[in-house]
This record gives sequence, structure tokens and C-alpha cells, in this order.
Amino acid sequence: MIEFYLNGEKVKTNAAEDTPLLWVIRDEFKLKGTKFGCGISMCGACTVHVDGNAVRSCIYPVGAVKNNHITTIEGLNNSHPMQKAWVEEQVPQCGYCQSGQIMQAATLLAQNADPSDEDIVNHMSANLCRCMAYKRIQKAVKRAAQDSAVGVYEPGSDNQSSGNQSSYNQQVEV
Amino acid sequence: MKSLKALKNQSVDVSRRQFLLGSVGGSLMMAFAPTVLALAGEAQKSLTDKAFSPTIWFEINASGTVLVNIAKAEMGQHVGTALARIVAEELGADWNTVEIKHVDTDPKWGYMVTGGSWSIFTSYKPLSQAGAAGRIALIEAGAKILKVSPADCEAKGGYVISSKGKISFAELVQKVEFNKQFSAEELAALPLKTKSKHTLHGNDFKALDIPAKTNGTAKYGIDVEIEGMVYARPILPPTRYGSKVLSVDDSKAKALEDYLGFEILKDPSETLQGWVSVLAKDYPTAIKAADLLTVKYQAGPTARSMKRLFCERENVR
Repeated sequence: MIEFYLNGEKVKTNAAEDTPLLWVIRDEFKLKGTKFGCGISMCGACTVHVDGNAVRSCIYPVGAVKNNHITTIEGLNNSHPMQKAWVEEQVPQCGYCQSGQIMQAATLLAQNADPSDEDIVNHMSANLCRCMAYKRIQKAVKRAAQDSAVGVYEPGSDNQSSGNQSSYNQQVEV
Repeated sequence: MKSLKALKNQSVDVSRRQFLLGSVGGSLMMAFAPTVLALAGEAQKSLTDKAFSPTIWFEINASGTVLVNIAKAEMGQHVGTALARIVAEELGADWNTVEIKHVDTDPKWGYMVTGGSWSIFTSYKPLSQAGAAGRIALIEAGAKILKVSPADCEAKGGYVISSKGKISFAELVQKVEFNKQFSAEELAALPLKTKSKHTLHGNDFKALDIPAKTNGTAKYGIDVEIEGMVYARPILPPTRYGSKVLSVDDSKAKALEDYLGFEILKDPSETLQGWVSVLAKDYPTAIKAADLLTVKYQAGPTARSMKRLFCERENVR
């Protein structure tokens, strides 16, 4: 039995410890927004946050997230500045990689509130997009940084409903 | 097997169909229908019975939302947005109230291929005419309530507007019992907006399918679950053509609790040659099991050139 927090809620799974976190999120907890891409941590479609850090859930064993706080695209509650910027810049085409792109991008502003173009490329370069939405992704990240010049990523919103104020917030806040 | 051309014609042939408008369940529903199905004066009944052509249909509900059903495959080209915009332009709808719904994969919706750049050029005229038919019906109904001539009205931004006031599409849908049809000839003769009157075409509007692609709610093939389904992981052969599976050893995979077995795919079309499909009760087990199988092949004739390629690459280094 492995316990962890999924978008602020405490959950338990009987999955084997070596099961990739991705499948537990998608198939056991039915949060389908996180996508399966390459399965070998090369494309970034499966990116989620573990205690505020962007990780590739397709190879991250669920046994390694005991008592950790996992945030998925659903956990951003459709209110993250990155999501708004994504709509404003009309980033997605097919959209399959975009949950992962957004989750990856969301951790950038937590570390660097005013990223340069180069910072953005460095932070996002391992998230692949077959539709080649890269320029719009870059613009959207820039826009989100400007829009949230005061308030950086505030993952507290993920946890407020259940009152789980955790180490997750402390690690992410800058 | 039908030719591509035949399928294409089948998917877009609305030229000999009539267009029906009727109040159904509190909404104004509009659709093309095969001529034989819709009898004169029975548009409402035919729509209620769903006796209409599946390829193009849309509705306005009591709150004024225009829902356009899309029977084309979305693959990143925003096809639903493009098709809905054609309807909305002629209808005079407010773009902010337009929604799209991608229908399921039931064969009744017709040939749903995405490719060949057909969707827009084959749908533009019928969808424009469909939107125009809706506009005319809304204007007629609005003119009656506003006590003006239809000629004094226009449909714009979700309203029928005249010099003596305006009425919203939502209110019309609530108040008026629609039951109207256009023959194929009448539909073809409907006046379409001239380019200078276009408010949506050629302008910058946000794609309707994008928000769902930024919050995890967009549904993809991999997100569908069906009761009792199993998961398969393919093992690809060494060459694209001509590979043949000689033997498969799955003894190691059998140790996995949720492993179900494997199949050597037999594809009479020979699109897939020498593929092995590994089956399991869940996705991670299928992946794990596929890695544990040992497959022996008789590779196709290009295997040698592959080998040469790798050798050449080594030499370049």
C-alpha cells in the first residue's frame, strides 16, 4: 500500500512499487490529462509535479512518491497563468503534448520569475511537440511571466480544498 | 472496398438533400435530410425522429448557445472551429456562444477521414447555406414578434435586429415553435453574405478546441476505456517489409500476473508484416511483457542494407 497526495487529496494505491506513476494516475485514479508519449522519459508528454518538481511520470516508480505531493494538469484547476497564456497565444494544435508542456513550464516561473528567451528554451527543450508549436510555447511562457510578474506559481490552490498545506508549497515558493 | 473517390463523394454529398429546422426538446435543431425521409411539413417530426443526414447538423438551445456537431477527425488542424465558423458566419451568431462537439466513431456519421484538405472546400458551401437557412428562419420569427418586415431585419451577434428593436436567438428559441424546411433547390438559391459583410471569416478569433487542450479535458483515443478491454503493445519487426516471425518465447513474461499472451498479427493487406502484439490486463504490464519476449525473425530483404547503413555510420565516426 502506497500513500501519496494527488492534487491535494490523500490517495492510496495497491499498485506494485515499480509501476510507473503515470499509469496509477491515468488508469487507477482516472486523471487522463497526463499523456503517455514515448514511455522512456524522452518526450515529456507525461510531465507532472512531484513536490513541485517536474518529473517524467512514465518512468517514475509509484514506490518513489510515498507521502509526496503530486500535481497533474487537472490540479492546476484551469486557473494557472500558464494555462491562460496558452489560450491567449493559441498554443496547441493537436494538443497531445501540451499537458506536459504546461506542467514543465509551470515550474520555470517558480524558479525564475522573469525568464529570458534562452532561459525558456533551456527549461523547455526536453519537451517535444510533433506539431512544432515551439514558438508559440515560448511566447506563452513569456506572456505568463509578464501576467504573473507579481504572483508566481502558487500551488497552494491545489491543496487548499483539503487543507493539506505541505512541504510541497514550501519547496515551490521562492 | 470502395474507392477513395466514392467515399469522398459519399461523405460530402448534401447537394440533393433538403434542410430541416424544428423545435426539438426546447432547442432549435437544424440538419440536412435525405429527401425521401422528410415529408412536406414534417420537419419537426423528422428531426425528433433523427431522420436526418448525419454529416451536418447543429442546434441553438434555449440559452442561445449554438452547438455544432462535427463529424470530422480533429488532428490538430482545428477542423471543428473552422466548420463551426462557417455556420456561425451565415447564421449571424455570437462567436462566444458557439460550441463544438466531436461526435463518436459510430459508422453512421459517415466517412470521417482527415486528409486531402477536403473538409473545408467541400463543406464551405453546404454549411454556409445551412447557416443562411437558419438565419432566414430566425429573422422570419423575429420579424413577427417585433412586428416588422423580415426585409427590415438582420441577424448579427446572436440577435435579430430591426429599426424597431431586437430579439435574441435565445428568446426566439424559447418563444417560437419552429417547423420549416427548405428543398435542395430553395437552399441552393439562398443568398449568402458577400465578402464585405463577413465578420468572422478572415478575422482573428480563438479556436474553440484549444481550452480543452490546456486543462487535460480533451479526450484522445488513449483516454477511452471500455468495459473488459485489454491492452496491447506491439513488437516491431526488423524491417518494414518482408519480415516473418519464426518463433516467440514468452516464458519470462508468463511470470507477470496480468500478462495475457501474445498474437502474431495476420494482416491480409500486408500493411503489417511480422508484427507481434503483446496482451495484458493493463498498459504497464503490456509494456513490461513486450520487453520480456524474445522474437526470432526471418528479416526482409532490406535487412542487409540496414546493416550496411549502420556499418557506414560506424565508418563515418
